[in-house]
Amino acid sequence: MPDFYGFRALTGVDAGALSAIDGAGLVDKDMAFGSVDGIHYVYMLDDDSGLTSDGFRVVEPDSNAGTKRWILCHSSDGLLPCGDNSTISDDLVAWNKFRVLLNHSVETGTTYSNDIVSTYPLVYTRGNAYQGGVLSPNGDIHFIPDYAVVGQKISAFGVVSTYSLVYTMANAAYYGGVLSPNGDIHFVPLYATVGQKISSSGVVSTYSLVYTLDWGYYGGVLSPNGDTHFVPRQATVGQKVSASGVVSTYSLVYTGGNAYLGGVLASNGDIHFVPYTATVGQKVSVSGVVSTYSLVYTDNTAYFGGVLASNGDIHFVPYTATVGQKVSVSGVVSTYSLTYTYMFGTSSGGVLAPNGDIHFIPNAADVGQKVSVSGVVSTYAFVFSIGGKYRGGLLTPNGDIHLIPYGGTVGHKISTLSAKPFSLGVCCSPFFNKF
Amino acid sequence: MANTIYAFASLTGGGTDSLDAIDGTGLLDLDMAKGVVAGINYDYVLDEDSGLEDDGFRVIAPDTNGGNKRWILRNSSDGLLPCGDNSTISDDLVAWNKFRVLLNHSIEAGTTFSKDIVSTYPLVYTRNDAYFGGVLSPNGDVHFVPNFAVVGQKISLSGVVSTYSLVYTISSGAYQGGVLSLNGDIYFAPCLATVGQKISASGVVSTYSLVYTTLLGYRGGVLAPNGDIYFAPNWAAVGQKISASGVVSTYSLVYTELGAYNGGVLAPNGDIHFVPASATVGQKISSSGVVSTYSLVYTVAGAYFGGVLAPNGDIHFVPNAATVGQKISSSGVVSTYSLVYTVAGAYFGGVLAPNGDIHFIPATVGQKISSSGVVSTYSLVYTVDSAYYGGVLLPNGDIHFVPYAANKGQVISTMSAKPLSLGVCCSAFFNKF
Repeated sequence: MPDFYGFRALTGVDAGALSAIDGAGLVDKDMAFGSVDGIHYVYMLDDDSGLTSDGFRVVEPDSNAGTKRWILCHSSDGLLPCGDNSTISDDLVAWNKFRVLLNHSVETGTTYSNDIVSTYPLVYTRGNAYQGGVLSPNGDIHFIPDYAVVGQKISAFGVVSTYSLVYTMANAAYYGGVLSPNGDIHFVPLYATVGQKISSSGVVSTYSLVYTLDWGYYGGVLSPNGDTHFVPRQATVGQKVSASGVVSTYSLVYTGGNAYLGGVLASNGDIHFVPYTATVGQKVSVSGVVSTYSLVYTDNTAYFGGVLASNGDIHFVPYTATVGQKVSVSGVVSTYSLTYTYMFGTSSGGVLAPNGDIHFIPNAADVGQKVSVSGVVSTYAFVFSIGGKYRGGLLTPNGDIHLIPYGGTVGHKISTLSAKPFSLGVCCSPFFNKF
Repeated sequence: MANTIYAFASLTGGGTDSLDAIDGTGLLDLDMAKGVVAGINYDYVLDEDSGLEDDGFRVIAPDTNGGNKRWILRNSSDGLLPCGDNSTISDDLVAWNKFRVLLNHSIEAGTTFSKDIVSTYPLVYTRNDAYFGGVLSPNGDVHFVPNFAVVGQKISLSGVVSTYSLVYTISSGAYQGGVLSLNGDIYFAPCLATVGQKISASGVVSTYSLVYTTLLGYRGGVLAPNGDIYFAPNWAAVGQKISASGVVSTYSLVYTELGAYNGGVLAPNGDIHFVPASATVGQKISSSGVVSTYSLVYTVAGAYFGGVLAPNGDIHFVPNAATVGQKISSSGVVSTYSLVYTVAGAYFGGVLAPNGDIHFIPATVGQKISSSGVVSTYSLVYTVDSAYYGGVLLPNGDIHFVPYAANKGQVISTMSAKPLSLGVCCSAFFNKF
């Protein structure tokens, strides 16, 4: 008959940690119960697992482990951290609760082994129409206007409609957007000389920027204190909008032509800029400290947008890069092989699906590419042919991933048919809801 | 006396580490048992005077000295929706046992009211014998399968009813029932039609060639665990299926008869059961493609019309001309039970609600079976003979009836606290006629 064990931490130096239980005395199907930061966990020992420990779903005894591993079998619901009250921080407590919540969807399955790709009509199309999108609190998906002269959105029930913008220009006005804590969606200024946003009640308005430059910013991220940061492409200073609407700039450590495209909020609250042509990574800490770090792989136009994985890794989305690149929770940068690469821009932007797959949104590629929760890279068929069609994507609470039409003349979506899709709240989290 | 916590590694089976192997003699009220089985965590509490029937999951009786002592399921991890196309669903029932855990979370979570709310809504297109069966698409639209109808009709998740053009129509029963394929296409089951017809997830309607057609050939279909679609033989003398890659082929049946079967159900072990109409034996296809028959307890011409998989794994045949209900358990035991209301042509198809109720799709009187087996009736807002043929569950918990002779739509709002997700509603276990 299996034995029971208790624990008060999953890993680490605490003698009461699950990993601290000596492997020598453990037998197959032993069980361990613990509560860590208010989350209840149940693990079962698999004596011949040998899986790689990830400190959560698989935990390896610190001593005499052999192939013995604790396998997560059950946990309480987890917690979605507030995105604007500095809950997300270096101690990773908020993240560790959030990954539990994500894991419930990851582990619950899908209807079929493959996703279903389908199309739908758009109201407005043109070349370079939209770049990136943001989910609003009412479930609408807003496309961010690039060359488009009207806004366009898709309701939670799939109704496509357009609306008037206050400011448009004949080229590349905005790229990417961010949902702010008051429900406003901020468009990120690329060529635009004024900021533009749409409120949760649909009111479009503009506001003054402190700094503008052609090709200034490309994508944005909400920081844990509620500030919206724009990601510097050509800009020589950082720029952010506070939760109360105050626009300000700050110094960057590294600037260069076409440096970064898109960003990701990391598990510890850092904002990582995604290296496009930059030769170093750059991030902004919760306290606003800007720093750089070394990359394993760099190239001109290497990566375009990024995605936070359910294990906390940040994946850079390959544009012309020939290898994938990611940054772990502990800051380790590594690369991995891709199945498909294309010299004219494979993909731009990405989305975390409820089953843990990371989908790279095809830009010029004619196939989709994804990375499974276990790290397997694979491709799948799309309806369209090769060419710059989509830039960025968004996950909706029903589990659909919508591609943002750049040159595409029809809407495209991926139905994941998840048994437990992410809720609207999770989909709107700053970890995911941005470009 | 203090309570004890027991451990187990299987629920039943009497093995040394199974929950039911714990001798009842030493068990006290409120003792607890914790275990992990196939990756699913279970917590049970002993009720010493329960006496409930052992179902091997929610209620487990000790094999020895059980008396009225029962282990009652109090908590479990999420469960798992099995992929419907990669042969995960199999004889070992591991996939099913994880899936029933997931279903149980909805059953146990409650509903807003003790009764469902029935309401009607306008349709865009109506005629006699219009539609026959329905299928949920991956975007949440419910598609009605065209029988005599000359246009397709669907209702969106937001309740918008609309029509669309079909490629092939005839002025009689073209298609009866349908199935969602793993690429998102909805296949209509050919009854009098001489070509197959499907609608893609993007809304493109197209036709394809069939290998075999005959008068009243097929009624309904089922997605097999390997991704093949099987049409249920009504008058057909051979079985017909479509592979995941679209290849149409036929296979031999063991038993054929005019009006033999109406619809089918995917069983927990991956078998496909055809629902007996005028057939005098049951017929099923195993996950490896073996066709076989089995004895029924009750048969009559036009007995049953469609079937529903219950959360405990029983397959219920939906009574049409039958005067008793009939079901087959996950272990293959066929049995009958009493109905509250019977009449010729009473029900056509059925739907599992999130709270575990099985609703028979009615003409004039609603009838359902609760997860504990209680049969009851309820009133409808709109009734007419042959009003509706088939129904579809949506991720918001609503059950839509498919209009056959009805000139308005009718929906049951189950107001579930935890409706089944779109992914679960689209599962091959449920999403077909």
